[in-house]
Amino acid sequence: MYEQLIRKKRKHLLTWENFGIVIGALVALALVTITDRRGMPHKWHTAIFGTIVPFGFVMSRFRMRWNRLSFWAALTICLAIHTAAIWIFFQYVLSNAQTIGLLLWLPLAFIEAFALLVVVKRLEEKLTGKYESLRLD
Amino acid sequence: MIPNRKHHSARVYPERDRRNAENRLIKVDGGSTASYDYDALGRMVEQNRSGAYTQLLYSPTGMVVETGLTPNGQYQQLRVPLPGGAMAIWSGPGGSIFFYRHADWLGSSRLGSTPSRTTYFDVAYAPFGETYASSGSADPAFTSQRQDTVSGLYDFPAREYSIQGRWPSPDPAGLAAVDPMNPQSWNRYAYALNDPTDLVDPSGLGSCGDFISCVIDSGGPSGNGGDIFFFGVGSFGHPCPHLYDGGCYIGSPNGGDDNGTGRSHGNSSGPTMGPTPAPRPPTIGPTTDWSDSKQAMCVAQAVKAVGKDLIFSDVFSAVSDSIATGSLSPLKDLLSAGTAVTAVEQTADYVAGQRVIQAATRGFLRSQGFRVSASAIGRDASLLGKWAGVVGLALSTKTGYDAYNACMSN
Repeated sequence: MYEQLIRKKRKHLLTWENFGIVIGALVALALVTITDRRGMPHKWHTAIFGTIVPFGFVMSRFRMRWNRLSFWAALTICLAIHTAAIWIFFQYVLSNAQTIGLLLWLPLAFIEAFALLVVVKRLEEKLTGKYESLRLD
Repeated sequence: MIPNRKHHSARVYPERDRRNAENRLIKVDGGSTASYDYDALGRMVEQNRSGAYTQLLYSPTGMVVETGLTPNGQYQQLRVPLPGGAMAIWSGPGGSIFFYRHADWLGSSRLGSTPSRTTYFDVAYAPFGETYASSGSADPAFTSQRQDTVSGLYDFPAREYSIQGRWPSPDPAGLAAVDPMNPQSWNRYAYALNDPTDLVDPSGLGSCGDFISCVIDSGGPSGNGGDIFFFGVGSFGHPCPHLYDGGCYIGSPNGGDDNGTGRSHGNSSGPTMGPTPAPRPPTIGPTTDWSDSKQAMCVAQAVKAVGKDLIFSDVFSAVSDSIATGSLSPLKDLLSAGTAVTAVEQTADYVAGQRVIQAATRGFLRSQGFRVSASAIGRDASLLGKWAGVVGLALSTKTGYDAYNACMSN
């Protein structure tokens, strides 16, 4: 009985995860379409990829905290900082580059994703003033 | 099959001939015999034979319909094509003489008849176009090409043809005209692969089957595939492989090159201007039509765009260039970037596979207040990989789709 419940719960989670991923891909496509229509270089595809992947991962990983305003506030702050950093990096640091491979950005996205887990949690604690242990499973 | 014939110039001094930048004959015997002018489409429009000027008028399909226009508008000859290769001719100043030309299977006029059903002329042709047994006012037209310019030279659109059984000038396509599988094509002076009783060479750029199948069945002079009279629209036209000094005829089609082999590729798509791609080297064996198509080229460009977007521009460019050129030299450029990609892959494998890394990640997360198991780390990595895979695939697909559409619409 317990096994069945666990299996059902995992299947439910998996469905939600997949749904979230599809939504994330659609959002990425929409953003890429906008940048392409504006004639921006292909490197911005990587910038969008490097934003959607870690933030999508964090959102799907923290699904149980979606009902908390503090979570969304923390995520928004992180997104704002990330966007600014990405903008500066791609616009000014990599000003001469036209294309940056998605796969080259992948390791950074992986590291950023796990770092975001911590940063979002920390920020949330700062915002609420409460420290709590969070279970990831 | 008739063996190669040696060139014995019976007329003049071919070495004194002068040609323009497009390798077209502009002066015969240094201008003492004749000189010619051409229009923007490369067609001869005026001849000057010792001060006697003859102008040529072309139909929309490229066929000569009037010759010898004089300042007061009188023509010397007016030609109207009829079914079956026949032709109605109004000859003489103002068309005072009227007769019909009747063609044989090669399109050569063997008989001329008058409207009163009498013979106007009768002529026979040796295999390579020499006339004999003529009677009446012979008006020879070998494979429908006449001797308007100089007696003994048939005016093919791209080249003059000598009745000596060979072209006085080589095939302008150069090596592109050579089919390694057909030794007869190795001689660029040879007429119709030295098979003049079976093949015709309507443009002077490549041979094909008999006159009926080449011209009549393929649409005739006014049809899309049968314009033999010049290299405008038609399956006989030679596009870029048959160049004059690297430039393409203005008005030559983009498809339909048969390299003198009788094999035709692609369809014509109307006149083009400006520089065109370099001729392809001759290939051995059957050609794959799809790989030569625009769609194939666009698919390759889409794949290249995807790879560029997905991996790294220099890396994928080097790989694709190596494949395209069949040379390994572009891969030399891959070394540094390829090493970087390999390093990334190996690092990812290491992270995913090493318990030490998993333990370190787990320890880091635990120190930050997460309660996490080793299996949860693996699931997280899997989830992250799924995100990266799906989003990356979506973006790459869009890039490829855009590149394909851009290429196809170009």
